[in-house]
Amino acid sequence: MTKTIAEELAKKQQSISVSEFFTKNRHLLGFDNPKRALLTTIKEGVDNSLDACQEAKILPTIKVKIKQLEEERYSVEVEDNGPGIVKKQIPNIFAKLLYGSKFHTMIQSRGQQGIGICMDPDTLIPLGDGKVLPIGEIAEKKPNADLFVLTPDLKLGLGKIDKFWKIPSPKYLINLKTLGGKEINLTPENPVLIRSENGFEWKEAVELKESDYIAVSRKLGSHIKNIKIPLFDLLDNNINIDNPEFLDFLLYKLRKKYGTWDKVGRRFGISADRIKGWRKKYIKRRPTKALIKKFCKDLDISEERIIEECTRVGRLGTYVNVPQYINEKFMRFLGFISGDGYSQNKIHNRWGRNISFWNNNEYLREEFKNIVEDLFGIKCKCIKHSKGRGYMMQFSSSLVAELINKCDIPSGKKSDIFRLNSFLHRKDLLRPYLQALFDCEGSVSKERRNVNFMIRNKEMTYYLSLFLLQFGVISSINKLREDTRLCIRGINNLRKFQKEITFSHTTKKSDLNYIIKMESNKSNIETIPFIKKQLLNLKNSLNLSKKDFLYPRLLSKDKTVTFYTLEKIVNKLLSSVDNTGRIPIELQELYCLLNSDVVWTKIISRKTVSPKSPYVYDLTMKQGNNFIANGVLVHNSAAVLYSQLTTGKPAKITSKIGKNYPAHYYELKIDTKNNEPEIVIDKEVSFNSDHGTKVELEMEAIYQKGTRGVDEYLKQTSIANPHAEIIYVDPEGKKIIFPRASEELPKEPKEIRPHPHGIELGIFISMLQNTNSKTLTSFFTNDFIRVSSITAKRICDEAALKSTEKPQLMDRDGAEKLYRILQKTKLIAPPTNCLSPIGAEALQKSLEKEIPAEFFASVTRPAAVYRGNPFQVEAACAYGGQLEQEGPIKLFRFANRVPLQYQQSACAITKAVVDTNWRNYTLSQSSGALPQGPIVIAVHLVSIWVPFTSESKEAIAHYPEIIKEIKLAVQEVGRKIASHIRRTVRVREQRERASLFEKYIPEIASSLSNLTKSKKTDIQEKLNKILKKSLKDILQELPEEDKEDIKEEKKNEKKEKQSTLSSRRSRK
Amino acid sequence: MKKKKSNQLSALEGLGSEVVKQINKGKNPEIPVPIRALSNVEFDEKTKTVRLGKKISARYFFNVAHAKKFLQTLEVASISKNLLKEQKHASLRDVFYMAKRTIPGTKVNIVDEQTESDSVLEDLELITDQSREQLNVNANKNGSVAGKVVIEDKGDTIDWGRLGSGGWSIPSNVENIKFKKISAKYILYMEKAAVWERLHEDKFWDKQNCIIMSSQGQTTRGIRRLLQRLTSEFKIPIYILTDMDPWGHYIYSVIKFGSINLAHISEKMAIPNVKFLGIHTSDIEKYKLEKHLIKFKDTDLSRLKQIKEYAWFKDNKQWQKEFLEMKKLGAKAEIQALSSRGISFISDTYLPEKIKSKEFLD
Repeated sequence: MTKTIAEELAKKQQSISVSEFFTKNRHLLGFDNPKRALLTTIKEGVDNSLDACQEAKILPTIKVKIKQLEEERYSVEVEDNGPGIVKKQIPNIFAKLLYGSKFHTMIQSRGQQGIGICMDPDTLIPLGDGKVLPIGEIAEKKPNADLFVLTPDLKLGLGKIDKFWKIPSPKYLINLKTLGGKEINLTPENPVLIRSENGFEWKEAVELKESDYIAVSRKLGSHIKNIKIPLFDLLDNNINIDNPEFLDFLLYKLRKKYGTWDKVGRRFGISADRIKGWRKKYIKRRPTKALIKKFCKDLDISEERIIEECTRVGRLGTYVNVPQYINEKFMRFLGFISGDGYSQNKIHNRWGRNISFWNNNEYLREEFKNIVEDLFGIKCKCIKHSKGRGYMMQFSSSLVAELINKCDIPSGKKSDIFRLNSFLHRKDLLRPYLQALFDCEGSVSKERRNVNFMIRNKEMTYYLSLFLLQFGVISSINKLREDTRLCIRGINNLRKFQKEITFSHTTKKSDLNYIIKMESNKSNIETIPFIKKQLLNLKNSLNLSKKDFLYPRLLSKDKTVTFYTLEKIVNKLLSSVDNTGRIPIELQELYCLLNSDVVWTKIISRKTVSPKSPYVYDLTMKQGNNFIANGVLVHNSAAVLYSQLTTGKPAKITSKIGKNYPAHYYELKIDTKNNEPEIVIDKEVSFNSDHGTKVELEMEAIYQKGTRGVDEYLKQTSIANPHAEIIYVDPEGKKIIFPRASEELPKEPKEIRPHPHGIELGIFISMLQNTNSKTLTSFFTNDFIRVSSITAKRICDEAALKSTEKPQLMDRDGAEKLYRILQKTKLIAPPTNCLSPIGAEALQKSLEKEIPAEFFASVTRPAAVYRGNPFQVEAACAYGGQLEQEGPIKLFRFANRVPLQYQQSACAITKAVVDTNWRNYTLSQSSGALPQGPIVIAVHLVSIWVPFTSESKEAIAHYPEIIKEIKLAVQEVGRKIASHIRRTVRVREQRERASLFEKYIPEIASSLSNLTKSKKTDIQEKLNKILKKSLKDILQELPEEDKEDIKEEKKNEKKEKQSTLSSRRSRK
Repeated sequence: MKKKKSNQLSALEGLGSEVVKQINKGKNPEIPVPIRALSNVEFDEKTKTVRLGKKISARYFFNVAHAKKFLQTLEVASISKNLLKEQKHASLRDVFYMAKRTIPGTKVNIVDEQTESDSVLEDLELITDQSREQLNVNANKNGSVAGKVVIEDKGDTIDWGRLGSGGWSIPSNVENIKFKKISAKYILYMEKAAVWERLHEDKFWDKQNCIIMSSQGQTTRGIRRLLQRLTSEFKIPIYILTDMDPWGHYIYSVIKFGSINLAHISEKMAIPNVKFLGIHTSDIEKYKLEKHLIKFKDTDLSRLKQIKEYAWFKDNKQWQKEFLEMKKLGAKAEIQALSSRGISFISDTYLPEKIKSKEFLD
């Protein structure tokens, strides 16, 4: 029965079209965020212009124009009246646009769109041909390699590398570890594919949680190129080739060509005597490999012929055989050596270097002996260990030892550093290598039913696990004291291991057989989490009953299922929907999941670590935007922006630097090989202003309105930069002008040296390395503020370091020690006059011109300090008018005059606003939420170092000092709103009450007329008269209840000088 | 009788014409109302009753804070006048519904809660110097009585010992009752109807030859008046049984000294010679009720503090000691806590022992 289903499945596989599935998954796997691309580019352009104008003390007028070229293709134009750019600096614009080039300057500057969505240089990338290389080496060694890319049907296909990126490291990286022992360091924004209740999702590394399921590769179907690798290539050029017949053949041919021996000698720069000596054959010395190659080239003899002839090589008259090509036997030999072998470092005078193989299995020793004889023509000696520690096979050859070293297996104590050279990473070659390695080092645990491999070489286990994936064998890695253990579990994996690699070691082989027999089908370790939703969708769209699912429980509880279980479910469903003919998309989806090349594994640890290298790397793929790194499926979204910016079209820059200078038009391209921009066109043009710069870019993007779009960005930018005029032409051709609110240029922020308490360890270390100071004392006093030479000396003393020591030579431990002491040392707070806030007045004016409200207020707090960094908070609010009455208030967040549009909920500003009790200010607010009401609140944080939560710089980190200041600022504007509301409410209530009296009068009159028999109308009339006369006095008797909450807050707050302002605008 | 009624009518009409006079003068009309609050209450050491002071507040119409109350006062006065004219009696609830309606053109009701009309009626008593019953407004019947007493009410002869399980329910106006035969030695008044039922079932009044009386919660005017008549006309001692908590003590205090709210009628109501039978703090240990206490809440504590400060308790050393003990205990005890010792423990043991030993608080 099962077989027929399997057969049908195979048939159906043909008929399942992935096209429907493809359209659904395309955006997901593409993850190109074209919506954000437009904004990011404009943001960089506008920030750049504002900064340039500020430096040149020009009141900026910035024009932004978006034109739609095709459906998802736009041209973006940013023009300013700034100082212009000289040619030499033109390439920097690109750098600025691409990376946000301002790194680590201690000056309040507009946000940097630092992009750096990449990984550590030693991250291992499996290539399509079976090689595994660290990402840092791919650029050098295989710039055009094929990598594994997840296709929409969840298979790992091959994609070509398009571009390679090397970017300065960010402040910290995210370190992820999975249940299976996979580990990767990524920049915080690097997205990783995860599976959640909602299906697939790309999530930035920084947002990942422990227990999220991420995609790791299940198998890597590398393609073998059937090219033989000549062993000859491995040999050094100065090695001697021992083949007298071939030599004679070459020499006579050469003499024929050049006439005499002398002429031959002259042609190749060798003496005739030497040639004579070779011919006489008694000279032990033979010509070198280099020479033979020269001869052959001269005589047009093919490479194959050389390889064929040169199979006996050596030095100093000692020769060994070598195989023509790297073959399975050679790989098995390498496997043995990697496992239980040893090659001597010391060269024995007579014998060369000893190579030995220690193993207690007689069969393996015998095999080793045979292989060595076969490969090199050398006989091994069997030696019993003097202290009874078993047996070994030994032979001596420097040449073989050299060959072994060439394959990245070093001599001496090799076990914790050996690798396998990447040219040997080929499925056909890896198989015998792995088998031999497992024969030596692998063991089969009958109790645990696994095959494991213990080795003191953590890096190599990562390689091995990627090698094994090429055979579809999933392995997990875990640490065991000093050793690392690679472990193969689960029936499918063990079967595949048995089929593809297995042991030749007899006991291990039978043990493997045994555990496979014993292991149940359910021990499938490949699992799929969160399939409830999909099953439910399937049930609903096909009108299935619960019984149609083998495990109805899965419909109610989101359990992680094994592939084995899922396979059974899918088979059952396939057979039950067979009659309908068409296979529904939901089932296709499950089918794709089941047959996918990725498997889902839990994150067990997520840490932030400081980067090991000054650079991180990323790749852009020609197809797809993802690849496998350290076995984990990662996204290369950083590069999306680059590729979008560089969609073939060059960037166009027009610049004029002064009235009497001509305007230049440049076209700029990026040389992706060197990752450097170059100017391709430079000509003089006319420009409609005395000075300024215009940048035009063409890009693939989607135009989006709303809070995260360009329109909102420009509006908020205009609020945060009252001195700027921004003119915006949107894709529909509509022109929006954001006028200037203040004619005053902002105060220039001052650059200050970093304060020791505001610096992080990573930066501290790089400062140590890059300083110009010659001693530690001068390093502390010159490179930091607020450190006196006495303090510096004390710090050095405490760290037990000489104050005259060179900072550049400090090792990591020393640096860490210094850093820790530095953080503990009491220092004067940094100066705060380096900041340049917008100013309460200007900020409020800005708000007044952009927000149609009736009441405005603003405040600038005095500067404060967090962790050695000075900062200052400003807040402004708008109330009422045409603002929406219902719903939560609108919160504008600014950092150093740049609007923050994303990640609102993660931001310290939001937290401070939410934590403020707005009910004190007459607004309604549910706990943990923004208050409700027709209010806009703008909060601006200026600092020399704004602590963003991540490199995307969209949310401010929750430092208590910062939150406190924001709260105080927000409370102050809150009070002003409250008193305004109370004022308006009171007027309204008074009016209501006056009318109430009118309504009461008839009632009073009728009661009184009943009591006294006076006429009702009479009384009524008189009462009305009194009311009219004394209305004013009556209303003034209202209770005063206004000042209570102000008292309450004053307690928390010291009286400080504050520049505050409030105004009311009459709008009717 | 008729003359009496016209007194009341003229009092109400006087109120109206006073207001009209002011209106005719073009003045903001006002009604003077004596303040009914602790601040305007004095304890008369001679009569041992709570008396109303002389503070008077003016209730203006053209004042945002007063307008509604002003309106309510006149409205209820008008209702009361109609009742008197038609010689009908209405309950407090009736008055509430007669006054409750929405003022045309507004969302405002003349009265929203019965407490508002009740309170205005009490004001009216002060303003007109006529009691509520004299204004033809009666409270709901509340409370039961049983014992060896025969009375005559509206021509019917009623034996309080032969009224089945319910007993006689006490009307709100007891002025016209005639006592025909009384052989009870004392009156036991209790806070809880449930306890009354317990004692009634055990024929406690028969065994002990007494009168048992109860209401649910605060003592109504009818009961207080009945108690006062019984003790003043027949010199029967009265013992009060309440929960051991500040609220129970206040019930005792109201019966004995008069209430703050109705200080103006204290002389008609207060019975200075009642005695507090229990539950005493000393009973807790004596009757092993420690495990049946209810812990004080904050409101209990603050009420205890208030009561302690009342002028009529302040110099009473016995009571101050009692309050102190209670504060120490930090807990209160209900009468029913005695049931923990057996359902009829109260009638068989507790009460007889108490009355025999005469351990009362005064």
